[in-house]
Amino acid sequence: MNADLLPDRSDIARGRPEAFERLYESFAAPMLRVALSLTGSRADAEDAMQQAFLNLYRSRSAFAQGHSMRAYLYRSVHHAALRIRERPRSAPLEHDTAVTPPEPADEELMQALSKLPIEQREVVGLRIHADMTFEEIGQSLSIPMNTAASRYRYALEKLRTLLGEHS
Amino acid sequence: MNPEPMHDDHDFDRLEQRLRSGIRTVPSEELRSRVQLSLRQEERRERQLWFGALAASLLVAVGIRLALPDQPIPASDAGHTAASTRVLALCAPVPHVVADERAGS
Repeated sequence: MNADLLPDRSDIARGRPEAFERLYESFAAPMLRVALSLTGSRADAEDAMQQAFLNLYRSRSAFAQGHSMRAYLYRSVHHAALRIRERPRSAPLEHDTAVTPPEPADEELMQALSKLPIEQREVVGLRIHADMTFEEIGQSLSIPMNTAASRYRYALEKLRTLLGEHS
Repeated sequence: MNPEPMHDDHDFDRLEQRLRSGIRTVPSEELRSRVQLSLRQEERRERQLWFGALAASLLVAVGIRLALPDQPIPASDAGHTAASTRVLALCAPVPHVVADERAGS
Protein backbone atom coordinates (compact mmCIF):
# COMPACT_ATOMS: atom_id res chain seq x y z
CA MET A 1 0.00 0.00 0.00
CA ASN A 2 1.40 3.36 -1.02
CA ALA A 3 2.25 5.72 1.81
CA ASP A 4 1.05 8.62 -0.39
CA LEU A 5 -2.47 7.38 0.24
CA LEU A 6 -2.18 8.40 3.85
CA PRO A 7 -3.41 11.90 4.70
CA ASP A 8 -1.24 14.46 6.38
CA ARG A 9 -0.50 13.60 10.01
CA SER A 10 -1.35 17.11 11.21
CA ASP A 11 -4.76 16.92 9.48
CA ILE A 12 -5.46 13.66 11.29
CA ALA A 13 -4.31 15.09 14.62
CA ARG A 14 -6.71 18.04 14.14
CA GLY A 15 -9.54 15.64 13.35
CA ARG A 16 -10.23 17.12 9.93
CA PRO A 17 -13.12 15.23 8.31
CA GLU A 18 -11.41 15.16 4.89
CA ALA A 19 -8.39 13.38 6.42
CA PHE A 20 -10.61 10.64 7.82
CA GLU A 21 -12.54 10.52 4.56
CA ARG A 22 -9.26 9.90 2.74
CA LEU A 23 -8.28 7.18 5.20
CA TYR A 24 -11.62 5.53 4.61
CA GLU A 25 -11.26 5.75 0.82
CA SER A 26 -7.81 4.18 0.92
CA PHE A 27 -8.19 1.52 3.57
CA ALA A 28 -11.85 0.65 4.08
CA ALA A 29 -11.86 -2.31 1.67
CA PRO A 30 -8.78 -4.13 3.03
CA MET A 31 -9.76 -3.28 6.61
CA LEU A 32 -13.22 -4.73 6.04
CA ARG A 33 -11.71 -7.93 4.61
CA VAL A 34 -9.37 -8.27 7.59
CA ALA A 35 -12.37 -7.85 9.88
CA LEU A 36 -14.41 -10.32 7.85
CA SER A 37 -11.66 -12.93 7.98
CA LEU A 38 -11.76 -12.63 11.80
CA THR A 39 -15.49 -12.40 12.41
CA GLY A 40 -16.82 -14.51 9.55
CA SER A 41 -19.85 -12.23 9.37
CA ARG A 42 -20.27 -9.16 7.24
CA ALA A 43 -22.50 -7.42 9.78
CA ASP A 44 -19.92 -7.98 12.53
CA ALA A 45 -17.11 -6.89 10.21
CA GLU A 46 -18.98 -3.64 9.45
CA ASP A 47 -19.56 -3.03 13.15
CA ALA A 48 -15.84 -3.56 13.71
CA MET A 49 -15.05 -1.04 10.97
CA GLN A 50 -17.33 1.59 12.48
CA GLN A 51 -15.82 1.04 15.93
CA ALA A 52 -12.28 1.08 14.55
CA PHE A 53 -12.77 4.47 12.87
CA LEU A 54 -14.38 5.86 15.99
CA ASN A 55 -11.42 4.64 18.07
CA LEU A 56 -9.00 6.12 15.53
CA TYR A 57 -10.78 9.47 15.76
CA ARG A 58 -10.73 9.42 19.57
CA SER A 59 -7.03 8.55 19.69
CA ARG A 60 -6.10 10.70 16.69
CA SER A 61 -3.15 12.40 18.40
CA ALA A 62 -1.45 9.10 19.19
CA PHE A 63 -2.48 7.74 15.80
CA ALA A 64 -0.93 10.71 13.98
CA GLN A 65 2.27 10.53 16.00
CA GLY A 66 2.67 6.75 15.76
CA HIS A 67 5.55 5.11 13.97
CA SER A 68 3.39 3.32 11.42
CA MET A 69 -0.06 4.71 10.75
CA ARG A 70 -0.86 1.78 8.50
CA ALA A 71 -0.07 -0.75 11.23
CA TYR A 72 -2.14 1.36 13.67
CA LEU A 73 -5.13 1.25 11.28
CA TYR A 74 -5.07 -2.51 10.97
CA ARG A 75 -4.41 -3.01 14.66
CA SER A 76 -7.45 -0.89 15.39
CA VAL A 77 -9.80 -2.89 13.17
CA HIS A 78 -8.26 -6.12 14.38
CA HIS A 79 -8.92 -5.26 18.04
CA ALA A 80 -12.44 -4.06 17.24
CA ALA A 81 -13.18 -7.31 15.38
CA LEU A 82 -11.91 -9.42 18.28
CA ARG A 83 -14.07 -7.47 20.76
CA ILE A 84 -17.12 -7.87 18.55
CA ARG A 85 -16.49 -11.60 18.25
CA GLU A 86 -16.57 -11.83 22.04
CA ARG A 87 -19.80 -9.88 22.56
CA PRO A 88 -22.90 -11.86 23.46
CA ARG A 89 -24.96 -12.94 20.49
CA SER A 90 -28.32 -11.22 20.21
CA ALA A 91 -31.04 -10.88 17.66
CA PRO A 92 -29.67 -9.69 14.31
CA LEU A 93 -29.66 -5.93 13.88
CA GLU A 94 -31.67 -4.36 11.14
CA HIS A 95 -28.65 -3.89 8.90
CA ASP A 96 -27.81 -7.61 9.07
CA THR A 97 -30.43 -8.44 6.55
CA ALA A 98 -32.08 -5.29 5.30
CA VAL A 99 -29.32 -3.33 3.60
CA THR A 100 -26.23 -5.53 3.35
CA PRO A 101 -25.68 -6.64 -0.22
CA PRO A 102 -25.10 -10.32 -1.04
CA GLU A 103 -21.72 -11.68 0.04
CA PRO A 104 -19.32 -12.08 -2.89
CA ALA A 105 -17.24 -14.64 -1.01
CA ASP A 106 -16.03 -18.16 -1.64
CA GLU A 107 -18.29 -20.01 0.81
CA GLU A 108 -16.14 -23.13 0.93
CA LEU A 109 -13.11 -20.99 1.73
CA MET A 110 -15.01 -19.06 4.41
CA GLN A 111 -16.05 -22.34 6.00
CA ALA A 112 -12.47 -23.56 6.01
CA LEU A 113 -11.21 -20.24 7.44
CA SER A 114 -13.75 -20.43 10.25
CA LYS A 115 -12.15 -23.71 11.38
CA LEU A 116 -8.74 -22.11 11.93
CA PRO A 117 -7.71 -20.96 15.41
CA ILE A 118 -8.16 -17.21 15.78
CA GLU A 119 -4.38 -16.67 16.09
CA GLN A 120 -3.93 -18.16 12.62
CA ARG A 121 -6.90 -16.35 11.09
CA GLU A 122 -5.62 -12.97 12.20
CA VAL A 123 -2.23 -13.59 10.61
CA VAL A 124 -3.84 -14.79 7.38
CA GLY A 125 -6.13 -11.74 7.28
CA LEU A 126 -3.31 -9.27 7.79
CA ARG A 127 -0.99 -11.02 5.34
CA ILE A 128 -3.51 -11.57 2.56
CA HIS A 129 -5.81 -8.55 2.79
CA ALA A 130 -3.56 -5.91 4.31
CA ASP A 131 -0.45 -7.04 2.38
CA MET A 132 1.57 -6.78 5.56
CA THR A 133 5.03 -8.28 5.96
CA PHE A 134 5.59 -10.74 8.78
CA GLU A 135 7.58 -8.06 10.54
CA GLU A 136 4.62 -5.64 10.38
CA ILE A 137 2.24 -8.40 11.49
CA GLY A 138 4.54 -9.17 14.40
CA GLN A 139 4.53 -5.50 15.42
CA SER A 140 0.76 -5.25 15.06
CA LEU A 141 0.05 -8.34 17.12
CA SER A 142 2.98 -7.94 19.52
CA ILE A 143 4.44 -11.30 18.59
CA PRO A 144 7.85 -12.21 17.15
CA MET A 145 8.12 -12.06 13.37
CA ASN A 146 8.99 -15.76 13.17
CA THR A 147 5.88 -16.65 15.19
CA ALA A 148 3.78 -14.70 12.69
CA ALA A 149 5.44 -16.56 9.82
CA SER A 150 4.97 -19.99 11.40
CA ARG A 151 1.31 -19.28 12.26
CA TYR A 152 0.78 -18.33 8.64
CA ARG A 153 2.40 -21.53 7.39
CA TYR A 154 0.35 -23.70 9.77
CA ALA A 155 -2.79 -21.87 8.68
CA LEU A 156 -2.14 -22.46 5.00
CA GLU A 157 -1.30 -26.11 5.57
CA LYS A 158 -4.53 -26.61 7.49
CA LEU A 159 -6.54 -24.72 4.90
CA ARG A 160 -5.07 -26.82 2.13
CA THR A 161 -6.04 -29.96 3.99
CA LEU A 162 -9.53 -28.68 4.71
CA LEU A 163 -10.14 -27.55 1.17
CA GLY A 164 -8.63 -30.75 -0.20
CA GLU A 165 -11.06 -32.77 1.89
CA HIS A 166 -13.94 -30.80 0.47
CA SER A 167 -12.99 -31.16 -3.19
CA MET B 1 17.06 -7.05 11.81
CA ASN B 2 16.16 -10.54 10.69
CA PRO B 3 15.29 -11.07 7.06
CA GLU B 4 11.61 -11.58 6.28
CA PRO B 5 10.88 -15.32 6.67
CA MET B 6 9.92 -16.83 3.35
CA HIS B 7 7.63 -19.70 2.67
CA ASP B 8 9.10 -21.24 -0.43
CA ASP B 9 6.36 -23.79 -0.96
CA HIS B 10 4.89 -22.84 -4.31
CA ASP B 11 1.91 -25.08 -3.60
CA PHE B 12 0.73 -22.22 -1.42
CA ASP B 13 0.65 -19.79 -4.33
CA ARG B 14 -2.67 -21.04 -5.59
CA LEU B 15 -4.16 -21.08 -2.13
CA GLU B 16 -2.99 -17.52 -1.47
CA GLN B 17 -4.52 -16.48 -4.77
CA ARG B 18 -7.77 -18.15 -3.76
CA LEU B 19 -7.69 -16.38 -0.40
CA ARG B 20 -7.19 -13.02 -2.13
CA SER B 21 -9.92 -13.56 -4.68
CA GLY B 22 -12.26 -15.49 -2.38
CA ILE B 23 -13.04 -12.52 -0.20
CA ARG B 24 -13.70 -9.54 -2.44
CA THR B 25 -16.09 -7.85 -0.09
CA VAL B 26 -16.30 -4.11 -0.67
CA PRO B 27 -17.63 -1.62 1.85
CA SER B 28 -21.20 -0.60 1.21
CA GLU B 29 -22.40 3.00 0.97
CA GLU B 30 -24.37 2.31 4.13
CA LEU B 31 -21.14 1.56 5.99
CA ARG B 32 -19.58 4.81 4.77
CA SER B 33 -22.62 6.72 6.03
CA ARG B 34 -22.47 4.94 9.40
CA VAL B 35 -18.79 5.75 9.83
CA GLN B 36 -19.29 9.40 8.80
CA LEU B 37 -22.23 9.75 11.14
CA SER B 38 -20.42 8.27 14.14
CA LEU B 39 -17.41 10.56 13.55
CA ARG B 40 -19.69 13.62 13.31
CA GLN B 41 -21.47 12.62 16.52
CA GLU B 42 -18.12 12.16 18.25
CA GLU B 43 -16.94 15.57 17.02
CA ARG B 44 -20.13 17.17 18.35
CA ARG B 45 -19.76 15.37 21.69
CA GLU B 46 -16.15 16.57 22.05
CA ARG B 47 -17.19 20.15 21.21
CA GLN B 48 -19.99 20.03 23.80
CA LEU B 49 -17.58 18.71 26.41
CA TRP B 50 -15.11 21.47 25.58
CA PHE B 51 -17.71 24.23 25.81
CA GLY B 52 -19.09 22.66 28.99
CA ALA B 53 -15.65 22.71 30.59
CA LEU B 54 -15.10 26.30 29.46
CA ALA B 55 -18.47 27.43 30.83
CA ALA B 56 -17.79 25.67 34.15
CA SER B 57 -14.38 27.39 34.44
CA LEU B 58 -15.93 30.80 33.72
CA LEU B 59 -18.67 30.21 36.30
CA VAL B 60 -16.12 29.25 38.93
CA ALA B 61 -14.01 32.33 38.14
CA VAL B 62 -17.05 34.64 38.31
CA GLY B 63 -18.22 32.95 41.52
CA ILE B 64 -14.86 33.50 43.19
CA ARG B 65 -14.79 37.12 42.08
CA LEU B 66 -18.32 37.78 43.41
CA ALA B 67 -17.59 36.07 46.71
CA LEU B 68 -14.64 38.27 47.43
CA PRO B 69 -15.23 41.63 49.18
CA ASP B 70 -15.16 44.76 47.09
CA GLN B 71 -13.64 47.05 49.73
CA PRO B 72 -9.93 46.87 50.51
CA ILE B 73 -8.89 44.60 53.34
CA PRO B 74 -7.95 46.59 56.46
CA ALA B 75 -4.30 46.55 57.33
CA SER B 76 -5.05 44.92 60.69
CA ASP B 77 -6.57 41.87 58.92
CA ALA B 78 -3.71 41.46 56.54
CA GLY B 79 -1.80 39.11 58.81
CA HIS B 80 -4.44 36.42 59.12
CA THR B 81 -5.85 36.87 55.62
CA ALA B 82 -2.59 36.41 53.81
CA ALA B 83 -3.98 33.51 51.78
CA SER B 84 -7.09 35.36 50.65
CA THR B 85 -4.98 38.39 49.86
CA ARG B 86 -2.90 36.28 47.54
CA VAL B 87 -6.03 34.90 45.84
CA LEU B 88 -7.37 38.45 45.50
CA ALA B 89 -4.12 39.63 43.99
CA LEU B 90 -4.34 36.84 41.44
CA CYS B 91 -8.00 37.41 40.59
CA ALA B 92 -7.96 41.16 40.17
CA PRO B 93 -5.31 43.82 40.38
CA VAL B 94 -5.94 45.74 43.60
CA PRO B 95 -2.72 47.71 44.11
CA HIS B 96 -3.74 49.38 47.39
CA VAL B 97 -4.02 45.97 49.10
CA VAL B 98 -0.38 45.36 48.47
CA ALA B 99 0.38 48.87 49.61
CA ASP B 100 -1.67 48.37 52.83
CA GLU B 101 0.03 45.07 53.50
CA ARG B 102 3.43 46.66 53.15
CA ALA B 103 2.37 49.50 55.40
CA GLY B 104 1.11 47.00 58.01
CA SER B 105 4.38 45.08 58.04
